[in-house]
Parts: sequence; C-alpha cells; structure tokens
Amino acid sequence: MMSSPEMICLVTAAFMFTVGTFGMCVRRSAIVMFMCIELMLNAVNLTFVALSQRVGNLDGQVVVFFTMCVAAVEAAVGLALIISVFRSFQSIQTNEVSELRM
Amino acid sequence: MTASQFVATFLGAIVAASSVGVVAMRSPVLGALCLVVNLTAVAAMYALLGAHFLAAAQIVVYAGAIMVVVLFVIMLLNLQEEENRAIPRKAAVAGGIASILLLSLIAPILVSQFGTTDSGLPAPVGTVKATGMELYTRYVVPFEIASFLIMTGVVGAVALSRGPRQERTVGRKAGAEETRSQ
Repeated sequence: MMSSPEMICLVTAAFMFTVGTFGMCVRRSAIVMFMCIELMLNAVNLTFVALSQRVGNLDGQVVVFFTMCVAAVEAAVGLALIISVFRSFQSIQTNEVSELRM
Repeated sequence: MTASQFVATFLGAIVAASSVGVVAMRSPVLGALCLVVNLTAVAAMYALLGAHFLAAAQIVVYAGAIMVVVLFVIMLLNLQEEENRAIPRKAAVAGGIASILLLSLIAPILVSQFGTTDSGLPAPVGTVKATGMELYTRYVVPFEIASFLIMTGVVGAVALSRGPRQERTVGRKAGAEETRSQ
C-alpha cells in the first residue's frame, strides 16, 4: 500500500473528527465536551494544512492561523462560562444543568 | 515505504490513539493530558507537511496556553464525582453508529482527492518567512480584526468569571454587618 504523507494525514484528520463527534454525543461533562470541540477544530486544521501543502498555496495555512485565534478566544470564554455555571449549579454535568433561571 | 510515509503513519497512530484517550478517560485530568499528546503530535504533522510556522504556533498556543488554562480549570473545580460515572450504553451505541456513518462519509471524499502513488512531499510552502509575508500584506486587515477579537474575548472572560454583581454587594454588606456586630 503506497500512500502519500498528505493522504495519511487526511485519513487521521477524518478519524480525529469522528472521535470528537462521538465524544460530543456520549460524554456529559462540559469540560470533556469542550476538549472534544478542540479535537474537531484540530482535525479541520490538519485537513486545511495537508490540502494547502498539496495545492502549493499558502491561503489554507493563513485560515488555520485565524482558526487558532478563534480557538484561543473560545477557550477563554468557554472556560469562564464553565466556571460560572459551576458556581451556580455546583456541577458541570450538562444533564443536571437543565434550568435557565437560577 | 519512504521515510516521510513511515513518520506520517507513526504520528497518525499517536494522534488516533490519544484522541480515543480523550473521550475514553474517566478522569478529566487524564483526558486533558491525552489531548496535550494529541496536539503535540498534530504539531509534528504540521512540521512534516512543511507548515513550520503553524507547527510552532500549535505548540505555543494550543499545547501550551490553552491546555494550561484547561488544566487550571479542572483543578479549580476539583471534579472528582466525574470518575465513577459510566457512559450509558444506549448513548454509546447510538453515538458509535452515528460516528461510523460520519467517518464512512468523510474518509472516501478525502482519500479520493489523491492517487495511491507517493509523489513525495513538494517543497514546503508554509515557512515562517512566507507565512509572515502573507499575513502582513494580503491578510493584514483580518489580522488586525483578529486582535480585536482576542481583546474582546479577554474582557468577556474576566466579566463572566467575576460572577453576578448582586451576590458580591450582598456578600460585602453581610460582611460589613458581621464586623459591626462584633
């Protein structure tokens, strides 16, 4: 089986995205769900980089740079939200946090 | 099998195993450590693909900054009840079927983009110099907008994690009354 390194990276990225989706479906802890989102973001980033290298064009890698910026902001705001949810409910299990009012 | 194929397969195995670990680990701390391994292996893949700048940024931003914040939050919240909580079997079966279907949709599309012959890696396009030139010339406006976005995010994170204002003033009044009664 001969396959180029880009293709191996693409298959890995597809697998990583699927595992992230599975985790989002199955796990109920907000912080694990957050880490699954990071997995999915990274899978898409890896696809962008592999295809940009294949095409020989830098645009895909610039998109990945901006995705990283958004992911950093998402991490800061998401974790602050998790902390404030924990403060009001004493739990971050998403099936226990089911009321909008305090 | 050429050297670059061997390295790509090796890194792919690490990435796959550690991403399964993120979902499967009961303890959130172990899951976060698996994610650190995963992100570092993805950075190595970027370096293999010739995206040198992104490999460095991945290690500094993701495996460094974001994961440290995640680990701090896990320690701050002291999540121990998590560990004796099993995944419900129905959810696992349903999620498993859904994700196998998703993989069978995505993977053939990605694979079909390439032939099976190894043409070798072309010269790297994502060197630090080339990426910097691109970011500061063609993409300079989005770059500045990204800095605004990050500033908004920092302010938002501080505002959210300070908690509701009422609670704070009530707490302060109660504290003041306590000291007065003493």
